[in-house]
Amino acid sequence: MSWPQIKAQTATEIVDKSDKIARGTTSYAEVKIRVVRPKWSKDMNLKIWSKGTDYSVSLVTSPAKEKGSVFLKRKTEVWNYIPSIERTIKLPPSMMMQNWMGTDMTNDDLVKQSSIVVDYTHTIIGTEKVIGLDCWKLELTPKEDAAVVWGKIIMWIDKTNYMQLKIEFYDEDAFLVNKLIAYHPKKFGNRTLPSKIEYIPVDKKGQKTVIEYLVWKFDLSIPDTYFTSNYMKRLR
Amino acid sequence: MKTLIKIAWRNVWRNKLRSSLVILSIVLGIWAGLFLMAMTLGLNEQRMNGAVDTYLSHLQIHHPKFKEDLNIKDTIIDKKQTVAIIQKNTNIKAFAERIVVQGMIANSKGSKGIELLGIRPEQEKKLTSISTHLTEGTYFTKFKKNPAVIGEKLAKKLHLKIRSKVVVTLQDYNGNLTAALFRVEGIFKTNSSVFDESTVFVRASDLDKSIAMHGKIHEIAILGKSIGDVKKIKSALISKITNNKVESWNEISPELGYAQEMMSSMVFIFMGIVLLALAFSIINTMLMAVIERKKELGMLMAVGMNKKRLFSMISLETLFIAMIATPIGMLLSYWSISYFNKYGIDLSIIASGLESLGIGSRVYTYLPKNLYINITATTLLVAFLASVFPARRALKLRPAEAIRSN
Amino acid sequence: MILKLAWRNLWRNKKRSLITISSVSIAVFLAVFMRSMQLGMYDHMIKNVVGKYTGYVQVHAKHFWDEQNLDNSLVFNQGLADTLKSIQGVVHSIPRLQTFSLASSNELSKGVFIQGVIFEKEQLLVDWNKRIIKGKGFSNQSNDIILAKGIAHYFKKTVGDTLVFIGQGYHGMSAAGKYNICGIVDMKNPKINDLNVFMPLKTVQEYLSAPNRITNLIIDKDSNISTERVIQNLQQVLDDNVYEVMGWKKMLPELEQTILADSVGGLLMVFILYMIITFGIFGTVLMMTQERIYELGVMVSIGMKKLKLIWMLMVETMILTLTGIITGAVLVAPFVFYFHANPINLAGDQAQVMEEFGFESTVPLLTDINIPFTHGLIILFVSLLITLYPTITILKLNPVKAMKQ
Repeated sequence: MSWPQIKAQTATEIVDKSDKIARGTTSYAEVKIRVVRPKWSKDMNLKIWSKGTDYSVSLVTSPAKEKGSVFLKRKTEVWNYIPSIERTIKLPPSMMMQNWMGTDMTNDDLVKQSSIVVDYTHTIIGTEKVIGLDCWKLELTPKEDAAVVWGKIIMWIDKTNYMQLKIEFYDEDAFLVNKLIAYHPKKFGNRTLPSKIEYIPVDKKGQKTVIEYLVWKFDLSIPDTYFTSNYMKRLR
Repeated sequence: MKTLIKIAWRNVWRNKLRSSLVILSIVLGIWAGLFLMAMTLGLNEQRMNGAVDTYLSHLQIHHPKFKEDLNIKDTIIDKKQTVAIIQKNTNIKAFAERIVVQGMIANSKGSKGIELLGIRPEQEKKLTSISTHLTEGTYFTKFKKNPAVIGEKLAKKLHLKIRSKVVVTLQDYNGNLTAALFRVEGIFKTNSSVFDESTVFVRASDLDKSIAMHGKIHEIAILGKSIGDVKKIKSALISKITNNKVESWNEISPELGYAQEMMSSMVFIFMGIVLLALAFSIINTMLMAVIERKKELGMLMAVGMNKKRLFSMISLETLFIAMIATPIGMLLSYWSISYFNKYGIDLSIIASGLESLGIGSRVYTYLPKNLYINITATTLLVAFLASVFPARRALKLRPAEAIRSN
Repeated sequence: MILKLAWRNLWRNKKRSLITISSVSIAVFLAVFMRSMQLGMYDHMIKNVVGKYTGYVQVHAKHFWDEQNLDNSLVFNQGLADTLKSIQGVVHSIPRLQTFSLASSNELSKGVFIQGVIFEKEQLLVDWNKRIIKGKGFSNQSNDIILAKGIAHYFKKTVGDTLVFIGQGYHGMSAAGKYNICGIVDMKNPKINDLNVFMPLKTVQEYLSAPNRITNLIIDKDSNISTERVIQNLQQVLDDNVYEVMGWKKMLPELEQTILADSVGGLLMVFILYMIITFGIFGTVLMMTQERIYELGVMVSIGMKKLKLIWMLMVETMILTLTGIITGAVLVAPFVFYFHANPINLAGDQAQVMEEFGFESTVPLLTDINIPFTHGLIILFVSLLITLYPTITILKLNPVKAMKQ
């Protein structure tokens, strides 16, 4: 897909397209997540299946102590299966704000994935280059009733492949709280997507979460049973 | 008898310094004792009133199982009928319906577990005083969309200001996770920092929509015309409301009631000790007076004053002193207690400790009127009893010896 | 010489002397009794909350108190244990690993504090057998845990049931565990009862993937040494880049303030008591002086220096006061000792309030030699002040006028 998109796109269309490109109707990914802290770091490997925006299920394949753990998202619910104790737990509201698996993302972030399209109004505010690629710079403002904590979000989306290369999350007082940067774009099937994403809490020194996509496939057929709480213990 | 009174009276004033001393000590004893009592009672009164005024009210009604597990589904059974019964009771001044749920409040700075109260502002205003305890902002009068009124301690914790956004995550009536956005419209401060940190008020209509309550509520709080009516109201309601649980404030927060009783008994013990000390002071001084006047008393006896008269004279002297001192002590107490009742004593040095106990940093002294009368009567009684000992001592004097003594 | 005179003067007016001495005694008696009761109650309260649970002193990894997470945990090994034991005032060091996790069972879930403890060591602080209300108490099984009664009630679990926990472990590891309930305790404190679960230390270390790590070290101190002293001793030995040492006052500021507030009230009461007694003593001294104006006049006229006279009166007053103080102290001592060994039992509603707050409803009196000492000194000081009156009188004394009386 190259430049001449004859119709001028609205900001919302751009964001929507960018969101859909990384999702497909279904997707399967194998990722390596590294949690970086000032005094330690931890690596995890996961397999992630998703269907649309409402369903996704992640299986932890390493490290050994956490192997076999499964996180299931069904619409607004999050379930967690832990093989060592053979239990499935539905996360209560008090857990939603806790960090997911020790990373810098919360359980709530897992649930609100297409929030950037649905909960905000979008405006193009310029063009800039990020990692050498031409990008639209967009400003996202939360809609009146949207249950999101941010005051505004600034997003850089590349014009060629609609990759979200940089996102800045601001609080209501316009202080930068979180930052997301994506790089090392690769071809995954017939899509080009960044293979490395870093999620950085700005005022916590030496702290970040790095997600690396090793395998990423789209639009394959995934049975619906994968996204049920009963199947969690059978996921491989 | 009249002469006796005159003599006794003049005897009192013969040694001005000594008598003034005794009077002064009685006055101070009474004043100090009463003031301390007033301070203690005031302290506890405030704590009680604070809790009652801000959220407890005089009575509360819940589903019988609600208080145990705080289950969202344990709503008030037959709300319409219950409200109708309440409205018919003439001793009830106001009542308010509330939705009570536990949830998490979050913003970009952090999150905290809270109790969310969905209220009807017009009802709550008549019932509790939070609407008048706002340090900033307004009480559900300005914002149209999802306003929230939060406590100062919570605002500080999450760096919230008026107009700040907060996201509240909770489970709805059907057990599904849901989140809703609210904006801070007002910030309140009560005497209890614990309450301020964990309670958030929103409109019942807004909350109902978010969690699909469909008009159901968890709590009805009731204010009687006066706190003395609570027992009456409770029995009247219990006889008519059989499916929900009716509780009075001291059943919901028994610590408040007990603390009051405990403080009262401690203060009485103290007062007892003060009176004991006073008694000794009086006995001491009057005894000295008798010994000092040995010669004179001996003479009186020799001249014909009988024992009964002598006894009465000494007793009267003591009583006169007490009767002068007591009203002065009472008056001094009354004035000082009334003054501090109005303006309060500043205890900000230990403010944070007090606030965690639910007491404000200003203490308003308070003493029920009947205590003034009680203490006056008791002091006079003690003085009279104290006078017995010196008077008896006087009786033991032998006139012949006494006259010759120096 | 002055002493002899003073002594004889006192003896001459036996009754008056006795009366004065008795007022002072009563004052000392009441003051000491009241204060012993009050201070005994605080001491008891502190013992209950602090001594039996939080500990008078705790050692943590630096920054732990401000940020209570596993990143701020300590390694606890024999080396540390030995170092601590060698510090003066430290009797035992009791390690705990504390973490906040989600406890879950079927439909219910609740955030709880998991306390990883070494039960034999905890027994040194408090007798667990008295606290167990169901089940047997500690067991050797690593899978056995004890629930505080509030939690057992919330989940409707009893001995023999299982409970599941999930949370964040050390260095980002997930923590998950399923354990068997072998006992239920009543910690006598509603807050503690609602939030705590007790497990063997090793079990929690494994749950959190935190081998040899602990978060809190409770220091059980020698009862003869003050908390401040122990803190000092610990701070001298432990590297303050690695450890922080905290006293209970810092960890439980509200308890300290509550006690402070009440103590102020108590001191006020004692102050009032003194005021009353002061007037009594003053009355005595006053009359004493007035009465002896003639005699004093004679003494001055035959050449006794006024200063010596003043000194004599002072000595008289002091002998009276001291006798009173000692008498009072001696009289009150048996009471204090008796109620120290046999604490006053509060009854009825009062008892219930105390128990609800986690305190035993008994008030033991404090046997601290400082109490009578302090109060004795105060009264002595007061009586010295009182001698100002006779002093001034004597200074102004005109012998001739005096003898005309």
